[in-house]
Amino acid sequence: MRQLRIVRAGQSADALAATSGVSGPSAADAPQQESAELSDAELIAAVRRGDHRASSAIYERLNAPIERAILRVFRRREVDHDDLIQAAFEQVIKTLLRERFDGRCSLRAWAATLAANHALNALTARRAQRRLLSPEIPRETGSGDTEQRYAARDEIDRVRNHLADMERDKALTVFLYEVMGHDLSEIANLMGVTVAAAQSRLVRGRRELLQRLNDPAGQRS
Amino acid sequence: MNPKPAAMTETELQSAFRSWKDEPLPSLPAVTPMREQPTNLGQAIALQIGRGAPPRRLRRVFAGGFGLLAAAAAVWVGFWFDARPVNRLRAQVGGYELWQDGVMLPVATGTRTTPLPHGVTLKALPGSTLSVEHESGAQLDLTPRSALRFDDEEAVSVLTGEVSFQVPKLGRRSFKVRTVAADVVVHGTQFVVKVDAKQGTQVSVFEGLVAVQPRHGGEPRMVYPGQLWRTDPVAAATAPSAPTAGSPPPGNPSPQQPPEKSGTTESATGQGSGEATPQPGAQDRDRAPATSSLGQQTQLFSRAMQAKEAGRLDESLRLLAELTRRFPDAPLATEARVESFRLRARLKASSGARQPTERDQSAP
Repeated sequence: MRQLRIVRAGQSADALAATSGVSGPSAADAPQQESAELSDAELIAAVRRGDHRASSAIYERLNAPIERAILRVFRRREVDHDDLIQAAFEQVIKTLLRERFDGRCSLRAWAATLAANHALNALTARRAQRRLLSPEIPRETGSGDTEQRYAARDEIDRVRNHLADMERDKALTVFLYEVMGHDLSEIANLMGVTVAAAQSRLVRGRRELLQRLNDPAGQRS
Repeated sequence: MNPKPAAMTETELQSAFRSWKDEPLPSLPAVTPMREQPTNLGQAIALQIGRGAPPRRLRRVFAGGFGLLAAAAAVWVGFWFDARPVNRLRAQVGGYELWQDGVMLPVATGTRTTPLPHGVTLKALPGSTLSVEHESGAQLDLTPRSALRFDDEEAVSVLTGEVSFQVPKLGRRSFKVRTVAADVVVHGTQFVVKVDAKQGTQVSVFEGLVAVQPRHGGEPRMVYPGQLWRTDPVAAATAPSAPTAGSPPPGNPSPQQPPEKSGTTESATGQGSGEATPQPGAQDRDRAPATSSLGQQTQLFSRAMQAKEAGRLDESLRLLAELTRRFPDAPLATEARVESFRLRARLKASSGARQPTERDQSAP
């Protein structure tokens, strides 16, 4: 098997992803700098060849963005956090092996998008299960700063839960734009659509989200 | 009472998004290179990459429009591929390593079943025992420091250490165990293969029948229950061919000698003169008594293990003590002493009053 060649990546989308919190510099990224020296194209080629030495590099490069995306959706470390990450990784590798990643964006940002999509799906399933087994009980109100903090958190939860109930393309577009901080051209690349289509999804998604939030029948959370 | 959530304006929605975006995330653990800290996740990634691309969906493959017959055939083939059994690490006590092409794969400790693809070498760390379910249905148990490579669907290689095999009836198929000195072919049996740099390769059969083909020449040998086949790696490496059963090497017991003596002599000398030493060969089977020395050892040990599994620890200890007393230099005596030690520890844990008696009984 051919030895993996080490080259400098220099992906411009990485910088954009870093500003959005997808792969920003942190202590968690320290070892990542080492594996970042392997270009995305070479890493993907190694994965497609079945070169098991690529597993270490892909783990070190994608673990942080995938974990961040899942944490951003769930806003906390869930009990099955590790399972979510593993499932997201499996999805990423499966998609790479099927040659469905066209390389129009950075591998990190793309993997984070896949992980966010996976997390939204998991959240949807979880909410459906919760509604079935134990209807959610609204929290008692408090007073002062604590009340304000709880109210702010509740607002985020409401938005997030309604997003999870929406059609996935629209929900993911709104999430990538509003929460992950991608612009429309990046979203178009990440989701494999035109900029116009991404913009349409964003507008329709926001409109539907507001309707859901203001519809009494939709206020389930 | 709790008020219903208020309606949300565009501005409030924007504010909620901003809060969500700026919300601090829980701190992430540092990403440690997998070589330094193997994880379940790393192992899953490595194995998924090693498996290659998953089969494409039928609607994509047959987008051009093949006939129903082709689709049905593909479905059948797809099911067959999906239903293919794989080697799996079923249980482990302690740690292990996975190697492929000279590179250590990331592994993790845990109780989840771990798939073991072809070409991977499984190595039990010191103090670890592993249990593997082979795709043929065979049950493989690795002792500490053993190494086993999964060659293909019908063959494994014992690289070092001791591995016991429990192979179900395979019908026309066979199961092959390769060592540096010999190939062992079975169709359904229980046996142990031991590969040691000093003692060579040993094949002990408990049930059924195995055929041993020396790698460096010589006739294939049939090994029956209670018999042991062994060779010396030094001789195997230097001598191109092993002698036939009719010309046993000097210093080794002849197959014509009484089995009781030959077994004991072989066990006592340990290595003989380094030639293949079947005990006894296929042509000597009719001449050998029903229970040879090795057969008696095996029977004693098996009965002791059965008693242990049934919870009759005292009886198990007594049988092990008899084994170590009658055959103090036999290979199984070492195992018997280890088992005795474990049993005494268990007995001590359950009732300390019984231990002095057990120790007296089982002391070799």
